[in-house]
Amino acid sequence: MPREWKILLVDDQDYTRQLLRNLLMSVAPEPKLVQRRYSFLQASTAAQATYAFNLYRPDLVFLDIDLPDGNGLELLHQLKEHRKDCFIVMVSGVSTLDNVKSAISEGAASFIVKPFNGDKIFAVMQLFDKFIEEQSLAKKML
Amino acid sequence: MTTALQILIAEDDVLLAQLMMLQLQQQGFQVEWVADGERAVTEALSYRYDVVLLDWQMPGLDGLQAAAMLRQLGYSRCLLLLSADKVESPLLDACLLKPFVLSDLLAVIGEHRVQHHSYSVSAELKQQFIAALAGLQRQLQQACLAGDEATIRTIVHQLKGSAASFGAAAISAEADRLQLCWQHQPIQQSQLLLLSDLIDLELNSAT
Repeated sequence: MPREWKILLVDDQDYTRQLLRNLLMSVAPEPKLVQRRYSFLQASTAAQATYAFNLYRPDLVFLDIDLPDGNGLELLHQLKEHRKDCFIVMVSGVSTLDNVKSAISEGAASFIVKPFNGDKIFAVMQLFDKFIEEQSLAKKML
Repeated sequence: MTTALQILIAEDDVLLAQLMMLQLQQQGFQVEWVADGERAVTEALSYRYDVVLLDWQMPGLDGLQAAAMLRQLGYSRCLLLLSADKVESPLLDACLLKPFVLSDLLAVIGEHRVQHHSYSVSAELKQQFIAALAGLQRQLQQACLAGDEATIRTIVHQLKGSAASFGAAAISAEADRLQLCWQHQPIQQSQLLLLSDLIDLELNSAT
């Protein structure tokens, strides 16, 4: 049985997490993407996200910048310190270049500007496929 | 029905930008213009544009740097560079030489039809959003009565980010307009009337 890939969704609004989950489920069967089985974990605060991240070791994280108990960019820094190889996508309603630059410099793989749509999620999943392929190649080289 | 191709032009030369906009609009394209690479990156990330045309030499972030940042983030749409010299780069779909010739751009655009990934929100999820929207409307009214600016800003920010995802694009657009307005001016509660009406409209249409 193929392995299950874990996706952690971090956003304080329940309906936003559900929307993101539905979008991911809808985009995942696209033939241009590598076909994988996904399971979802959800967190509405930075504290919950840290807990879930350490306990379940997700492969992919969608992390909102505005969280009720902290800044998503600071959390990104902490998560990347724990696991450099985790693929983390920052999410924000505000796409200032400062936000984008900070996210990149802290190690975010991508940056999604709300509102969500299928095209944005598809682009991120293509990038995720590429990242996994590069990781697997790197492991073979060792 | 086909939708007009949306093109973003990033060009610091105002006259050239106006000329390109005019020519492209005459071809039936929807065109927006920004004057620097930084705005080009943040605008492109909205994924509203099928094609982004970047001038190479721009103040701040130049066209190639903007393309590099977008590609690093997985941006998958067509990126074109406008330059006086030919530039070969894997970041780009094509490089167009200056002076700008409309037929060159049309030839490249013809090869880059974007495949959109459409998605419809389930009725159950939409209902969840409507319930949350009703709650936000109540909180907004309470915050206005209390003169609580911080809460007003937070709610408007939430609406901007979420409403369009659920098909309420007008609410997102108005929230975006208010946020921009309040960057340099204090909040005036009368400015919230339109937003409040749009929320009522959305809530009424859902019942």
